[in-house]
Amino acid sequence: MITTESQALWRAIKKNSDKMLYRFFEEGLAQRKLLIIRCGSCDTFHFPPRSFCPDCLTEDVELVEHPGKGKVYAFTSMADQSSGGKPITYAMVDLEGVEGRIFTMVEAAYEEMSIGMEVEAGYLEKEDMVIPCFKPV
Amino acid sequence: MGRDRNVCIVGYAQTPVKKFIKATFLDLAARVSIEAIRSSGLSKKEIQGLLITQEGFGNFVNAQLFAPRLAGHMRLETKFLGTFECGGMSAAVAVKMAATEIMTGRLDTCLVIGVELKPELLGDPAFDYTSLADRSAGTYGPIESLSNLRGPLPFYAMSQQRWMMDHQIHPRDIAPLPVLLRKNATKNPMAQFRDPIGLEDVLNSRMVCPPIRLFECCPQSEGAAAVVLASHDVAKALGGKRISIRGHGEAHDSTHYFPDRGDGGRFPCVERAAREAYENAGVSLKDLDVAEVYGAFAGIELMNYEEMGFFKRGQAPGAVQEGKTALDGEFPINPSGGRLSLGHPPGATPLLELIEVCNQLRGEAQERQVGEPVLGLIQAEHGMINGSVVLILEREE
Repeated sequence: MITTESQALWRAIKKNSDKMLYRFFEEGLAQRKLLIIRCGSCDTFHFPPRSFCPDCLTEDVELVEHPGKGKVYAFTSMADQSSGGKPITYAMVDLEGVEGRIFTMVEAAYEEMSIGMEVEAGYLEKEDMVIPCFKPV
Repeated sequence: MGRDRNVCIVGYAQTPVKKFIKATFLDLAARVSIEAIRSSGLSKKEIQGLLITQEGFGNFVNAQLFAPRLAGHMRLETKFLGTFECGGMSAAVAVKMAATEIMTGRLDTCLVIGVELKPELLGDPAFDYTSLADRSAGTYGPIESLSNLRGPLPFYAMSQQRWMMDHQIHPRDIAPLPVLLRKNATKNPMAQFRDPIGLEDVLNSRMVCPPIRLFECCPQSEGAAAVVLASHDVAKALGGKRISIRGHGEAHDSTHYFPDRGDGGRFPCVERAAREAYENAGVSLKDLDVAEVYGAFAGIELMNYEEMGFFKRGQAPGAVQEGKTALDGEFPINPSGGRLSLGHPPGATPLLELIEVCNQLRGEAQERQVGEPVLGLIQAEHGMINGSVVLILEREE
């Protein structure tokens, strides 16, 4: 249940994230795709997608879709003050075949989580936004 | 910083650490500066530089040109002026910058100020939520912000989870640290929390973000501190007890908050900064007598001890339990009460650490005095420990 207050907050977040660097990531989200980059120069994959390769700093990068599979590297949970203290499960997920972890919410109770657990990308809608939320495989 | 060109700390002052301090940024910064200048014995005209941290962590109102405004407020004419921002280690970086300027011979003295006051909400959601979202996305990152992240705690929790897993550390092993820090703080009139607590209080406190419980967290505090640095010649002319900066180290990892690769249960920058500081000062670990360490959470503080080599990996909890880091232990750490009990106003924290170590080295820490220390260490960090500064201070004979 989104309250009026949290709607204002989400709108602010949306406006803000539009301004930020991860435009490619946002574009992917709108299509329910997890976008990453492949560097043609050093042949590595990176997340989050950038307009250059963070390892060799060349601009020889292309956007590719990641299958959305990964393993939980670490996890925790915290009460969400904007929805009456409901706990949110958070995890760092090692994305398969990529140099990069994603910080994400997970659609599972904290008690159901374990390190190394296999998860896949899922998506939540809030206001006019699509937000990544991984789920157990 | 070299034995021949060392920089001394000739004056300092701090406010008590509290949940709220009723003051404006400019006045608080000015008053604590005036007190620090007074304690140094220098006159206002002799202060040649003014460095300050941003207006509190996450403040967004009137955040520009703070240092020049303060100089105008105090009618202070200088040769070096600036606002330094690098998260929780801002004030430590400012000290290092000031010391470097003095070492080059360009400045003889410099004032460094750290202030932390919480942002004031204006009551207008359009403004307040934009600011909150700005802060969240700007500080942690837009993806993290999308996931409703409002603070760094989940990152710390997950890093601590990895460390606990790697070394089979049980929550019961961590609980003695908050108890010890609180015990130290009962002897510190500047501390925010001074009522003693026991192991069960820690273990039964609310689980905030597993594995971190409430009593393992620092409070979000307000406070201010200022220090006056001077060249060795100036310090000598002023007379009195002299504390010099004997060495320093600084290191930053190529990550922001939770590392996107590598071992998430380690803080390599802390290890690198400490190693550089020991080498730069020409001291070994066993020479150190006292330390003030930056630990926003109990488990993270213990991880910092290990990164700096104080104890072997996985053994910091046992060392604390055995009393090695207590006021009467072989290596007292955080005699001030640390971030957990002294309180944690990030903008000022590195200076509060420095002031505690100076008090200890000067033998002026009263009930908290840990013998007659000669060498002391302070450490500060930014992000979820993606960068760190280590300074080694020495009491000169």
